[in-house]
Amino acid sequence: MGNSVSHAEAVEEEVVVSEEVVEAAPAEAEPEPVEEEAEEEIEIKIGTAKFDPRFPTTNQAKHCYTRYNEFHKCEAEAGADCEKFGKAYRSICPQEWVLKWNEQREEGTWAGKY
Amino acid sequence: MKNFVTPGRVCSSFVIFPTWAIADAAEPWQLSFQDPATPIMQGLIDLHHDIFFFMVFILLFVCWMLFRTVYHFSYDKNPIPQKIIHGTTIEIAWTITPSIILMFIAIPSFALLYSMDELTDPSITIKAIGHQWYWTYEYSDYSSSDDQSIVYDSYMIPEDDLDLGQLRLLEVDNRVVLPINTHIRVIITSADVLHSWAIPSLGVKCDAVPGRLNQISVFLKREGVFYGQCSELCGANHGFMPIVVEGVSLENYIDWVSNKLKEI
Ligand SMILES: [Cu+2]
Repeated sequence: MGNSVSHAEAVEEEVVVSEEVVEAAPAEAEPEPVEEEAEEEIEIKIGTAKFDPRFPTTNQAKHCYTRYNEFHKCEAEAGADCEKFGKAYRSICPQEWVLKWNEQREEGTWAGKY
Repeated sequence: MKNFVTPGRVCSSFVIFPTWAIADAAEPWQLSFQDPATPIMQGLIDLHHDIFFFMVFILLFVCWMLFRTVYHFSYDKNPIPQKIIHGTTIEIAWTITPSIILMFIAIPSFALLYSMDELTDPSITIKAIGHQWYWTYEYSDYSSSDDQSIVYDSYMIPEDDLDLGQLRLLEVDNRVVLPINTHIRVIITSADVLHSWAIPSLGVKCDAVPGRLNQISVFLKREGVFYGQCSELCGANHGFMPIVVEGVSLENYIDWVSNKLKEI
């Protein structure tokens, strides 16, 4: 509590920390996939949907919707290699939303193009 | 009074006030902040102290002025108070000085505000979904199909089921496990009414709004168990849907995730 660091310094410090981490986090994360010695080896790759400059706001609902549509656009047009889109929307969207949308797609009531 | 703070006394104070050792939860008669675990909370505490300096200064100055005015311009001493009715210099001074003080408050305040909004490229996304009256957490970074995510509910442990040392109204059955020194994106939403996902030690308080996905970033600087509560009045059991975040090392986090994945 008795912190005597002036605010300007604190902000600078914070910037340094975040830079350090940008370098440190991949370095730590890279040695993954960590092989589990257990029977079924589960590979865990630390990584998630990147920050998307199209959606800089706090509300990421559009981000989720767009990524979901991008995945289905990819499936409809390219048909393969869409897993990165799949991973992205799954990271952002709540499962409940995705399952509801999938249901709508099956029923043919989905509002989207794909 | 020499050597007041001896190791022995510090240790015994931990015994008398056990929460001193882990001030990551609210404690009775607490006056100050909980201990920070993120740069954001450190920044909030620093800003509070910065502003407090100006507040104390202004309070003392105003009290001193009031006291002098009341004392010197009493009816006995000074029957005709208005000797000066206009003064350009003093008017300029009392306009400029407060603006400068406000500037000194505004600059660190805005710096902090914008740094809170910033999302450094995250390595992990978790989702917190408010329900009446519990939280659901989702870890979907590691799944390759829509229903294979790690999803679990987090309920408060009722008073009768508490183990010795567990915190009443704060402990949950399934904690949120997050790695330290990693940029984490938390997406907060609700499935019914407004809730708010708040943890004082992390400097986080974010409304959970149905239909909206609020994004915040968290960067834990240390391991620990951080307690928070739903902070938006959401119905009868609003007070009984606490939040517990467990900060662990990255290796332990990976172990935890792989165990969770095996359960699916
Ligand atoms: Cu609530």
